[in-house]
Amino acid sequence: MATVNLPIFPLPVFLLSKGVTRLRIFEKRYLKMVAHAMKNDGFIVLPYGKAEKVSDMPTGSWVEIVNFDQGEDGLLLIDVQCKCLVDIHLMTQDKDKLHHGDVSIKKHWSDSGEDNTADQLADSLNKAFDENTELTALYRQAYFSQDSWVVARWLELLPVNIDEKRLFVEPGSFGAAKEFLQNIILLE
Amino acid sequence: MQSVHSELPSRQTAATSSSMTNKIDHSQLCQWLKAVAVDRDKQAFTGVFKFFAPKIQRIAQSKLNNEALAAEVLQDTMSNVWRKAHLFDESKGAATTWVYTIMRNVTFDLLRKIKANKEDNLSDDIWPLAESLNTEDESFTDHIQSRNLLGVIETLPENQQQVVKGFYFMEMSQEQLAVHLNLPLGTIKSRLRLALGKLKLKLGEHHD
Repeated sequence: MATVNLPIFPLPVFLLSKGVTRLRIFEKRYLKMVAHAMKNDGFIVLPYGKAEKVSDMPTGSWVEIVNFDQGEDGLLLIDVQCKCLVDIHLMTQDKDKLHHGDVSIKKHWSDSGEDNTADQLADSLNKAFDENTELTALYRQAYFSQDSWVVARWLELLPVNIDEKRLFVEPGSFGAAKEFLQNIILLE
Repeated sequence: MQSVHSELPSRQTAATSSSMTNKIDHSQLCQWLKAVAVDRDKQAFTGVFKFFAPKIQRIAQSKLNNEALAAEVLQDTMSNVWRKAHLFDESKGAATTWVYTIMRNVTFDLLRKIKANKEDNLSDDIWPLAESLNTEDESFTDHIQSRNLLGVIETLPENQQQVVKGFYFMEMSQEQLAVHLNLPLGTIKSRLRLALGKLKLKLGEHHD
């Protein structure tokens, strides 16, 4: 399988395909990483939680920088968008202590999800976007009519441990993810 | 004219801290702090943050000579400002004095903490993958920084957590979700717990 070598940023952030988040960058090695990522192919966000049991082949989110700014506190702000999930095969560390990994694209449900369900999950998410200007500002485009997009955004937003969220990086987890959300959001 | 800019560096020497003080809009700062204290006003907090952040970052950087630690001082100071805004008393001194005192205490606390449990924390707490990669202690500063910050945040009431977390994560708090779904917080908590239980049963075959 084709692999690419990309810098890795371990963060307590869970992102599925098309997910966007804002990061504050202050460490030198990550500033270097961002500079590199701007010119090249982005970087990998490696989500970590509390109960770390590292699998042989961790899953990361391949992100691209879609916006950047310098906050008035002098820190660099970047908005990153996840283009796909990746399997990380081999990790190394360079002299600046920045991690790099050989990664290959991981199949996920967002690539094959059925679309066209304007259901309550979508309505509820739409409302959350309306109420939260930060979210609206992050997402230039929203796809409330796409099941996989709606489910993915809800999973990112929910106040659930990242260890639990990571169950949903498995390709066969879409049904479980949707049911999980319905149990929380829709139950009367 | 643009040419004025080229003269700025040489003029800097004349800029003493007293001349800077003249420019500070003290009543604006007091007003913001009051809005934070009384209305939990996010906008006002942003104003306070924008005013103090670069200064705190710069001072902390010069005292600690470490960017990540300086950032931590900044975060801790500002979360304290958010939490303790109601304790600020205009009649007892300037807002700047109050904030810098908080910063000073935060810095001392941080230095004490580092001294007390540097080794233990790092060996126990750090992510196993880091060990397997033979990383050195300080290589996961971001990790530790975030965790310490989370530790601080976790002690805040939920609605206050949201503001501070907003600087880092795009995730709803339980309380936000409760408001969003128009349900009591207790219901949200139990729904999350039940849904996670079901999920684990369902996925149990594939995950230990």
